[in-house]
Amino acid sequence: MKIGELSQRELEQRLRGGGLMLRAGPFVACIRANAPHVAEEVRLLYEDYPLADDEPVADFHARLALGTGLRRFIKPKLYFHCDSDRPFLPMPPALAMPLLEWGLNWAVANRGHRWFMMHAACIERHGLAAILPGQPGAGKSTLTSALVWHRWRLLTDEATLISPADGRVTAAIRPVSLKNASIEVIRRYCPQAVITAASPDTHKGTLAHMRVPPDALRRAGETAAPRWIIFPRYEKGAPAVFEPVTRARAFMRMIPNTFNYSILGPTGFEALTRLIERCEIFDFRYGDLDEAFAAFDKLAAGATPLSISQGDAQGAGAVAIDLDAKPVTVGVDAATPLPAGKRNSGKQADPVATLFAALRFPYTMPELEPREWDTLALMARESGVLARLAYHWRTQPGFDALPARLRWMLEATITLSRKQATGIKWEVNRVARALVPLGVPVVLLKGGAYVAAGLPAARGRWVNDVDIMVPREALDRVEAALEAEGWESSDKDEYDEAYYRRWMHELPPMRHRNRETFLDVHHNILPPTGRLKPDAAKLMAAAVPLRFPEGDRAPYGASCLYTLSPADMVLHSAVHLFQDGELEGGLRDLTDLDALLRHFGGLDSSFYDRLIDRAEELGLGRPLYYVLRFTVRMLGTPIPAGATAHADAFAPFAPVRVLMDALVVRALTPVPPGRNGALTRWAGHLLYIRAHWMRMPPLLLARHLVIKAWRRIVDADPKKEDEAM
Amino acid sequence: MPADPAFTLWHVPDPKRLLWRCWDDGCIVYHMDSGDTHELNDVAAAALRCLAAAKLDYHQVSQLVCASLQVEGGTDFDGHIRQLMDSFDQVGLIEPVTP
Repeated sequence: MKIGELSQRELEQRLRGGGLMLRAGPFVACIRANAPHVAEEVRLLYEDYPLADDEPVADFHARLALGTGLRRFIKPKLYFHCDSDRPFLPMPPALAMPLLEWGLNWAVANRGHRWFMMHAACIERHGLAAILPGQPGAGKSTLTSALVWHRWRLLTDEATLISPADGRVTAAIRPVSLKNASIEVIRRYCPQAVITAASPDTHKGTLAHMRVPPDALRRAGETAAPRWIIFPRYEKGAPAVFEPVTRARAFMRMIPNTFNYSILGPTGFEALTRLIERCEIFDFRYGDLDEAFAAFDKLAAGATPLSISQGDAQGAGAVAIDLDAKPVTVGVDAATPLPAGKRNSGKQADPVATLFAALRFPYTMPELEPREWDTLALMARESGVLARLAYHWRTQPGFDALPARLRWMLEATITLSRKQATGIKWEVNRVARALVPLGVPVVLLKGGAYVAAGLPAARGRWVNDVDIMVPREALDRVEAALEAEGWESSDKDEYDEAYYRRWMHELPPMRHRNRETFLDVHHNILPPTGRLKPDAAKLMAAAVPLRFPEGDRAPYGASCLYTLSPADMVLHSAVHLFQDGELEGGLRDLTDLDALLRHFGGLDSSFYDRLIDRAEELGLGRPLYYVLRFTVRMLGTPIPAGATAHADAFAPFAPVRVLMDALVVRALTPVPPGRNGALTRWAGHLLYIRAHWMRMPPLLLARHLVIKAWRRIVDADPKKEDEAM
Repeated sequence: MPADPAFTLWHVPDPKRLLWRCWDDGCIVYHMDSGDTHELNDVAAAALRCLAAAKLDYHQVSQLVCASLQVEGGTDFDGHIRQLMDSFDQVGLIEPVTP
């Protein structure tokens, strides 16, 4: 069934309700939109596209949503969401379709890692593909739009997808984006083209979209062999000329035109190498489309096909966590299948219970219907635990039987997570290189430590920056050494800078000027203004030299690298979640703690005794109490009953305990798709306020909040919110 | 930085982590640890290959590159190699050898 066969009412119902399952080339997008007029524009551009109602799993869930709150009555804004991401600033509702198209482009570029993807148009003739990368304004889309009405077939205007297995191009056909003068040029040259009304005043100028030619859509399943790479450039009055580009140069020019070269790592390198070797590569200048047609005709006529080797929502209003569940004791077989993920005779599984069952028993593949997998994957992604689960599931026998799109999604998230780990290891390498001459110990913290030490907590964990701790007296020297190697303070705000240096336990975040990576340099694990004041000297004294996992080489300078001792590592993670953090992404952090406790507890039978003693020594008993309470109760962490009983000595008095039980469980439990998460948000807000309350004395906190609020008003740039992307 | 760079031995710490592809107009090297891709001319490629094969100081690299490309060396060339190796060090392609 095609989208055009839906009545207007049906189309609107799908967009506003369960979602429109759109098949665009190899991708299936579930699209929702509560903005006006989207249905009409979707119909205009996607009328001939097939519905993907038979697909149980979408590659991504795209959603256009009008902003809520009072402001919507004065100046409404439209937000684009892709799964749990919101990649762009909001835009006026009049720009709904451009926003949706940009959003779908973003989704493809960020989810399609089973291909090597280039930011390039691609057209085909006689089975051979010409790839046209081009910087904005180079004339790529104008040339492509014209050629696809002149004997060439459109494969894509935006994202060229190349299979790393066979090197062929898969068509990712979606409407062609036309900008500014090219809109009228294409209307004139290609009168048969269907083009939307122009949207003026976008951040890219005036914008319109051209519907995909019918032939291109009909043949969307046909792949093509790459034969040419052509860098187009429109120059007024220039004759149409192809100029050869050498391979090494072309390779370097292609890298910025790829979406995932760096993410794919060696696979990306091999894919690009093979592409470069299979193609003739040209710069192409043109000043007239008729001449361009002739030049491309000549190119196609002279081409000989190259042989390409094959080698080369359910009602989860009540949170499904049993707070009265008994702690799991050591000795319980963690691989025992849990019934929570199974259905009883046709009844859909509770998505929250399913997610927690998956986290509790990650080595057991849940038995789910495909649509339930889709929901589970969406919630796991939103909670930051999808890659962690993917790591466990991919080794399970049932993995290959999963719906293909789900497998691709899980493999892509593992690819991303591996890329992050590689990046973190490299940052650690660079930090060691920069700081080893100082002769001070550099303690890796949190995700950076897990990755560098190869701990199970690193598997599938999202790590965006590196955190280190150094003795406070060495801070100035450390900062100077890092600055000499290219790191610089990322916070240019004088107040923030002063605030960090005076009141915080870390320097303002540093960013490397070339790699654009972030580094946080700490001198303690909690702010000196906080209620809890662990002794940093004790943490430094107990730190242990970093042990690299098997297969990882210790880089030059590694002798300066340390991690916190196992007990301190758990306590740091505990204070980060329950004392210092904002609980956003808290479930991910709780799974970190679960992995650390399972790992260290499994290695050493006296670990928990030392952990509790250490918590008492450092004055961190309360956060440890919360960790043991909630890891056991929410994730079934196998902690000896004796340890939890000892930790009860650190518990707050009963009313606070009851309140924290309710708030933490609520805040850490993801909201199923389509449910109102108001209570969860409120729980998060209250815990956020608590975290600030714990961070600094009331007067200092009040002063800080007033200054921040005032600066926000004074510095507000009304234009900023109107800009998108 | 090591105490006396002139007499320090340098090397590519793990040559298997470099992926090479060479064409008529130069070589491309992908460094799996950093994820960076580098475009090298003949001299740079020869120098990096030497350092992937052995632990060498600046002067030794200079001599080996001269021999492999059949060009004449000299103070200027030594200086060029030194600059080149500083760049390699900056991007993490080579490391000083830990005693």
